[in-house]
Amino acid sequence: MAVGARPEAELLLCCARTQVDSKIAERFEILLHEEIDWTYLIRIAGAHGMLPLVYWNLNAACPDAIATANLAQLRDHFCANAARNLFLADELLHLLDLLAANAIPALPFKGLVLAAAAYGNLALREFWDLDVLVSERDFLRAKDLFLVEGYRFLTPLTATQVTNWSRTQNAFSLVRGDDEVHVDLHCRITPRYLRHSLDLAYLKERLETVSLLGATVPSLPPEDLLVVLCIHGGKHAWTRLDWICGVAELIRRHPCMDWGKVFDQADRLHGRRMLALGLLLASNLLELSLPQEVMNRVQADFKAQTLAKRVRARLFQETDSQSAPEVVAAFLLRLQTLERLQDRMRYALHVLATPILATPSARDAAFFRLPPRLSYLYYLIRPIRLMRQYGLSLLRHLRT
Amino acid sequence: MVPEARRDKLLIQEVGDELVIYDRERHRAHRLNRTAALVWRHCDGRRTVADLAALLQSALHLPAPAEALVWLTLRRLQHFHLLQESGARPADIRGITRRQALRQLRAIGGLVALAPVITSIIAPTPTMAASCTPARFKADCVDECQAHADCGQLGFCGIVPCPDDPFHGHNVCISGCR
Repeated sequence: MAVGARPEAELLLCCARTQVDSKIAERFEILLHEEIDWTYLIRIAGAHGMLPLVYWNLNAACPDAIATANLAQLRDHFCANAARNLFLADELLHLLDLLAANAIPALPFKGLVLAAAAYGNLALREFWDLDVLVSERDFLRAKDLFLVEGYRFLTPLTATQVTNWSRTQNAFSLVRGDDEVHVDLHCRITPRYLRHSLDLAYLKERLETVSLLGATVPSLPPEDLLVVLCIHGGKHAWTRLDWICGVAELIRRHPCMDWGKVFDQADRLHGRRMLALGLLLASNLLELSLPQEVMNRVQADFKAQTLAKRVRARLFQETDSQSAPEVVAAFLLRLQTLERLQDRMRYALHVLATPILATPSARDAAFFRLPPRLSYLYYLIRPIRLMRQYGLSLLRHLRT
Repeated sequence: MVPEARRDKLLIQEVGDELVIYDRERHRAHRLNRTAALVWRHCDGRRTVADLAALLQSALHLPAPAEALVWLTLRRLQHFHLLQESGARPADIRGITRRQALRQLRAIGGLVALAPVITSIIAPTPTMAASCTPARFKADCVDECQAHADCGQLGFCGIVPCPDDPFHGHNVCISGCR
């Protein structure tokens, strides 16, 4: 558990699981007799995507210790979230049927599939979008199918930008209706700055299945899913507790995890440190038990241990994630999760340059507007803007 | 009459003694409170209304069976297409109003809070936060709210929660028109 955490943060950490043992139940009783600031608890639980589990666990363990109004509010949110998740699951099955009818193999991952594979209950997680992986060959065709189905680009793209985007980015972000459903249509799971990819061509021989609303859908094997979760968490600097919870729950639900395969996959993607960081966080914060040999391997990575301390220290800080110091801190943390110099350079280049190939960001255009025929100059504008906006914070970080 | 719950094309999520039901045909989600969930779960095509009333009496610790409560619940369930079409006949169900059912419930000493509530949930979307007001989540809307101007059908209460502030939302009266 986090050292010096407020009781609300400790209560949240205790709730971050699907099974509560007697030791955790005792902690609930003790913590709920302290002065709990429910407004703060609900705020941080919401920020970390943990409201469903907070309701689920507190209602099961000690409903009488919670004020009726607070429990009712938590239950209301739980029901609304459950309804949305059922709706999203239905839509996901519809999209998979659509792709299958057009002979496009597809793999749903993260979100709903993780809830099914690791939590065993769709209502226990929050998510706002669906993630579907198709092959690079089918990427544009699948996108066209979704557009015909009523989806549109989240950020409007011209035809040229769509082509550039498909070459430089991992996914199209699509939305249907008035924000009714968000879908991320991927051609690869791992970021492009990682040399080796997790794409459908590689994964198709390794896939397993999971039951989703009575239907059988393809899914990543737990060993690969664990590595994906750790890469995803690292990509987002582990700012949300539900990502750490996902790692812990996946491992708890698969006690026969083949750790040899996990480390092989991590090595293949040069993601050993990202894996170590995810496992350290799950172990330290959520008291996840790992086999001793696994703990020995992750604890041998001192850099990962340092990064885990930084993540733990920042987890419940209420800061503006868009402020310059926070953006820089997250960027540096992501950079430091990459083991190899060439991956760090590719990542830095990715941050600086590749979005321009698709479309200049609104911030680049706001900083210095160029006519479309000179848009290639954003290659120069963007680094200047980024240095101006974040340079001072970057220097301060490097000095400490 | 012998009502039977519809099960096909429904997705069910248990929430304690309540139910969240997602209707895949109509793309709508409903939340059944304890009373409504009890009745729906036990509408098996064999239990009569009297059987269901006895069951409610036992489960809710009522001093006497409340058939009016069962009828009201069946009416609500049918309104939301949660009963088999071949089961309860509309004429059988339509006769009781909420007011009559609540009167009977009070008469037998039952708590009004035990009245069946079925709420349609409009699941939150990411941009709904912009339109949310800081209204309390609990219903100002009542069942069988205003009649729709076009078709005269009574509406029903839906709750629109704010995704970024889940403990605020606003109530809407959703048209009963089909």
